[in-house]
Amino acid sequence: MAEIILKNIKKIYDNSYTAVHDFSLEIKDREFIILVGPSGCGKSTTLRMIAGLEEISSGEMYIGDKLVNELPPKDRDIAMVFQNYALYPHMSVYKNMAFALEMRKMPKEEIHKKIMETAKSLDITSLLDRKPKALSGGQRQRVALGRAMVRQPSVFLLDEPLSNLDAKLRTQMRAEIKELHRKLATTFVYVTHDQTEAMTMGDRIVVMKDGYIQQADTPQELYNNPVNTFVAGFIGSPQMNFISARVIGDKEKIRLKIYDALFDVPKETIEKNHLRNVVNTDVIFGIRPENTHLTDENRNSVNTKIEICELMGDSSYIHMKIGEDNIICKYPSLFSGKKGDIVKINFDMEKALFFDRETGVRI
Amino acid sequence: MKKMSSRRKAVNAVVYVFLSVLALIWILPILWVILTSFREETGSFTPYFLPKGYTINNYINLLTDNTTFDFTRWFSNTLLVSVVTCITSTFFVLSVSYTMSRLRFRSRKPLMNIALILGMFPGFMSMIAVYYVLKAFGIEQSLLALILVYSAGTGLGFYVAKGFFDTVPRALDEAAMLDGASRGRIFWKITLPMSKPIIIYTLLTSFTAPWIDYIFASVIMGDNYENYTVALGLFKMLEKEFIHNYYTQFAAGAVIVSIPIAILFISTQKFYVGGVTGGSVKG
Repeated sequence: MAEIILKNIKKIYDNSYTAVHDFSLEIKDREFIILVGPSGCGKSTTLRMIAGLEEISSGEMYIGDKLVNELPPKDRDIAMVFQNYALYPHMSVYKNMAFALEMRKMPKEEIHKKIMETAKSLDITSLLDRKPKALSGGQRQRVALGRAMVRQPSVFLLDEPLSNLDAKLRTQMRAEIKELHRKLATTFVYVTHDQTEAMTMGDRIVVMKDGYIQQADTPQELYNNPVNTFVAGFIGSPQMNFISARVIGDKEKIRLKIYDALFDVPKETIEKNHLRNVVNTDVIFGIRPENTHLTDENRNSVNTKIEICELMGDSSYIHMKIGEDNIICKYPSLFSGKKGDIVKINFDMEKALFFDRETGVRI
Repeated sequence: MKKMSSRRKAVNAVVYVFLSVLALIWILPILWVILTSFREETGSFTPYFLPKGYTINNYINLLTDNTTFDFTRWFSNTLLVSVVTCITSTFFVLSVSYTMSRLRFRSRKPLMNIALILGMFPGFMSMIAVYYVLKAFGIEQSLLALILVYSAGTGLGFYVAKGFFDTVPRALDEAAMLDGASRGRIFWKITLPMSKPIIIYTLLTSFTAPWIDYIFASVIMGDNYENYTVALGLFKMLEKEFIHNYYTQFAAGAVIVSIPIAILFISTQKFYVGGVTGGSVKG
């Protein structure tokens, strides 16, 4: 059907800036794939290359077995939803949705039928006569989706479609788009900089940085087994704590030294993270805020100084500092501590990850 | 607070007085021409502002008596030239500006720079050369020549319209491209319907320019009175042998000439105001 294969795709702009380096990825038919990364990481450029709005500098791209490098956008059987909706301002919602079908010379009755069906499924039938400027943000978003849907493309491209909506609407539309994907059963490629959207919507997430793919995997795998500090820090909110530490010991017993405190490390963690290879080396110790706990015990704990407490309602995020490193602890209820208080923390060592101090790559 | 507001009032008063004086200075010549056009007594120079007697004969004579000056013919000449020029040059200007705004090609930057530099030279620098070119084609002293001369260079004045097109979101073009529209279709179906203000502006300026031009018309027409435009014709009335008898008719002609332009400006005024792209993309 419509799998998308990108082979060593490169994008070099005229000013010789390379936006995307050697991007290779196979997107399966009906997959919901998410390209995520900070601004300027090349995710939108990649999407626009799939759409045909940007030329591919080198590499090969296939959509459903067909080499599309030179194929104009209209012949790629794709539809795109833009970040700013890009609705035609002088046309009614109906005309906006009809435009693409009219361009395909589809008979009028058939166009009407399709629009009515799509409008019904998106609940925008009452808006069909309105112009875009008479719609709210959420309605415009829905119309933009509808305009893409009427064409029944085999690939949907979505470029940060929710970033202009308010938080509540965003959560709602997130669920709706996910549901839409299930109903339409087509391939979705979705670009966002918001890791929550990525985690909640995607079958698979491609994390990008500076034009390179960092990791492409399921949300769960990215969360549990990030390949480097970038992915580990990008996925998950609040972000993972990175603390400088040193692996000490010998073949018999391996312990972790965090500043002046010593921590026991369970066997499984040692095996999983290959810690025997890095004995007596400085590493970066990565631990998520929910695996960081306040404690009263003196063993396996380290002293930290409280910076700020953020109350989230059901829990609190306690921001702390050890030496140069910032640590966030997710405390399961309301916490009443003051700035400057010294508290002891420990960690769920079986959830710990270890990264190379120099390269940030997982050990 | 109170001191501030009284100070502000004083400033406002000064500003209003100043603007009122300016407005009066602007209005006076127009008022004077209108009054003169209704003046009963002939003669060019009168030592008084308000006419001694009023008549509409100046208008009637101007429009009916074509023994010496065929004003109606000149008027229709000018109208023809202006309307045709207006249409062709609007097409040129919009096409060039859309191209410069949207398409990317190697010579785009150099062409824009050349256009900018060429635009710095006054057009009449070229008029002798233009005359000989027209003569070589055997179309000097004709209305066609005027239309050609007025339309040909207008594409150079694309900067304003390009600035406008630059503000139309590119995402709209891209959306239309994905919807299957060609470049031409995007221009006609998407961009132009959203560009009313700039189309009106271009139409107005390209209508007005030939309507009021004197220099090129006088070089190209020479002594071919039949094909005169109103600017040439009216100026003719001010020559020594006519000025005494025709001065008030000249004023009447001036008033008539300004009517179409005034109507155009007033009726299209509303298009300048208000947003165009409202609702297409998040503002």
